[in-house]
Amino acid sequence: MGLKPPGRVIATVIIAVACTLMGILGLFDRLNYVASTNFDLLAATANNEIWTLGFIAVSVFVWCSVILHQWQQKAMQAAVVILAPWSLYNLLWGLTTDHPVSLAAPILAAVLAVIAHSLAVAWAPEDTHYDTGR
Amino acid sequence: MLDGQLISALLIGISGLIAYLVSQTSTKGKALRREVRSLRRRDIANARWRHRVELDYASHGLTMPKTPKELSDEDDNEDEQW
Repeated sequence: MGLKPPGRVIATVIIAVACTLMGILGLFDRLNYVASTNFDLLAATANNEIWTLGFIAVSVFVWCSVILHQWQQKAMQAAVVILAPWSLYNLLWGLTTDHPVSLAAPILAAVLAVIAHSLAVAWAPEDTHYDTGR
Repeated sequence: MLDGQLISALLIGISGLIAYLVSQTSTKGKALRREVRSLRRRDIANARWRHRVELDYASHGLTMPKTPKELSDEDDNEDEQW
C-alpha cells in the first residue's frame, strides 16, 4: 500500500516543514505576491491573514502527529485543506497579475497538496484482519 | 453589508471545506476498494485451500465432511444415534 512506514514518516515531516515555513513566511508578510491584479476580491482572498494562522495551526497539528504517532491521516487532510486552496488562489492571482510573475510557489504548493493527500490515503488504518497470511 | 475581508474569509472557508470533502471522500473510497480487494484475496485463498483439502481427501478415498449448510435433518438424527 503506497509508501512504507519509514518513507511515510519522512514525507510527513517534509509536509510539516513546508507548512511551518509557509507559516513563518506569513508572519513576515512574505506569503503572497505583491504584484497587483485586476481582481480585488482575488487579491483580498489570497492575501488574507487566515492563511498564516491556518498554516501555523496545521504545522502544529502535523508536528504533533509526527511526534505522538497518531492522527496522521487527519493531519495530512488538514494539510490538504490549507495547501490546496492556497495554491489555487495564488495560482489565479499569479495568472492575472499586470506583469508576468513566477508561478513556482503555487505549483509547488499544489504538488505538496497532492503528496499530502496521498499520505492521508497511506496513513489510513490497516485492515490486516482480512490478511490471508501469504 | 459584506466587506471584502468577510467575503474572502467565506471563500477560504468554503474552498477549505470542499478540499476536505474531496480528500475525505477519496480517502474513504480508496480504503473501501482496498478492503474489497483484501476480501477477494481472502475468498480466493479459502477456495484454494478447500480445493487442496478435497484433493487430499480424494487421494485417500474419502469425501469431504458436510458443511453446516449441507447438513440435513437426517444427518442430525444420525448424530443423535451416536
